[in-house]
Amino acid sequence: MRLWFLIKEGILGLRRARMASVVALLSIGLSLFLFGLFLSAAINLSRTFGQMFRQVQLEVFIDPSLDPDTLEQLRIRLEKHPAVAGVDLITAQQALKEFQENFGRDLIRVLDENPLPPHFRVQIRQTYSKVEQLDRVVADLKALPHVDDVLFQRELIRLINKYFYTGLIVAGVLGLIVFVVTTLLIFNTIRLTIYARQQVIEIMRLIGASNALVKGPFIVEGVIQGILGALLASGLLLLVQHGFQSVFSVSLYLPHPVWYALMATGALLGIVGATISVNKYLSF
Amino acid sequence: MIEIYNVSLTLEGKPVLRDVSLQINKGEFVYVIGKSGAGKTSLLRLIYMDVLPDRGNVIVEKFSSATIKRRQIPLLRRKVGVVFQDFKLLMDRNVFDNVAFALQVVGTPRRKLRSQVLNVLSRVGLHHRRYHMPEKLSGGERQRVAIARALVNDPFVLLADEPTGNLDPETAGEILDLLENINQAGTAVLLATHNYEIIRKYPHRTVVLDAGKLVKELPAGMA
Repeated sequence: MRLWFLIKEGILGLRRARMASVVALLSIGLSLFLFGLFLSAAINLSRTFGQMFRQVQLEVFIDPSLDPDTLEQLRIRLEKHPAVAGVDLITAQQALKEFQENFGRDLIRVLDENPLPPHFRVQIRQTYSKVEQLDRVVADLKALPHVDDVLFQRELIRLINKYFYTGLIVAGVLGLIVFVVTTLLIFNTIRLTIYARQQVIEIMRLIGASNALVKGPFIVEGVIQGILGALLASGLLLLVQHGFQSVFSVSLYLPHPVWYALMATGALLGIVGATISVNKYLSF
Repeated sequence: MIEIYNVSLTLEGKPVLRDVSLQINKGEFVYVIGKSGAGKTSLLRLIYMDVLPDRGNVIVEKFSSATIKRRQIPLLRRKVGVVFQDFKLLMDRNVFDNVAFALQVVGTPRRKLRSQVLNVLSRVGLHHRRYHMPEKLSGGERQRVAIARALVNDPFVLLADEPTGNLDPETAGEILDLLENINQAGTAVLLATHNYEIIRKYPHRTVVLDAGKLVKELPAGMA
């Protein structure tokens, strides 16, 4: 009876103050949309960096005269390095084929022999994405027997890192500001809707409602507003995703956790906002 | 059943009650009279423990202001009905729902709720207007709804703070008749007013407050 009463009062509260509820819903929806936008920007930036980094590899050049057994032993030693995610052997023939595919020139015809040495192409784990870390990995690999040289696109990686971390810091700071503004906006919206109904709180207290019972309907209202606001924000984000696809032909990545985060943020801010706001009117 | 011993109260830095002592017996009808600012409303607030005294003690049935815990205050208020000059109705719901609200917050089962609300609405003569919104009612009818809401939980005392202050003399008389009936049915009534006319027409024991002090206590018919 009590729980049903709380839920019913919460829903009725939204219906009775229809105009205020719609305004609150729009305000919460837009605030969460802004928050979601920055969340997805950070996720997509991080994802793009990951994709770019996966294309960066170390080229480990080796003694061309190594027999297959020694080559295999060397591959195993390379794979054992904690920074290494994967190792591919590129034979001299494969290297020549790739060169021809990339540059369209037949080196054999020009030089009469294949000048490209066999080498290992080593994928690096994303946790070793900094140039200084890669320098250390290169030094480790160079120290292995039969390794002639280790090369990587140092300047490219330095640039990717620089832009990624700058982007991440900017997105993080803006995201934090947006989150704080969102929280304040949502709290204020809920506070105003409750302020408009302080007489209800006063009457409930006068007729002997416990504090929990006074708060209950407002918390239910806050949760409903928060979740509906999150749904509105999700709809707007889907529109943005669709717009991105059709204007830039780029697919914006919005994983499930973004939706969960919006719902959870909406509901949580609804609960906390309503509790804080009602508490103001509950001296006894 | 209501005992007030040497109570002093300060609100926002101003002393509003000084050394007030008063007893109200079971089923009694008592007036508290005094000018605006004499401390009538504060005295009523002390009884439903909306404020607690700085000094002295207020005992309402088994609850004492000296020992009551915050979570017990709602339990006390379920035994004390309160009505105000401005009615304090919920304007967004009809008469029935306004009265039912008082039962819902104390967890009355749905099957009992309807009959209890209709019963109390009959008692205050508003059975036929149960589906009307408060804005469609006259001042007297609104006060009847407020009285019905205060009575529906069967309190032992009804505290009425200037209940006729917003009403014309004829309607005020009807509300007083209703309060008399309620009192005769066994509920104590403590009515705060500054209107001596009421006291002359409906004589009961009267206590006079002046500048926060209880200056006189008059038996019925002596005010």
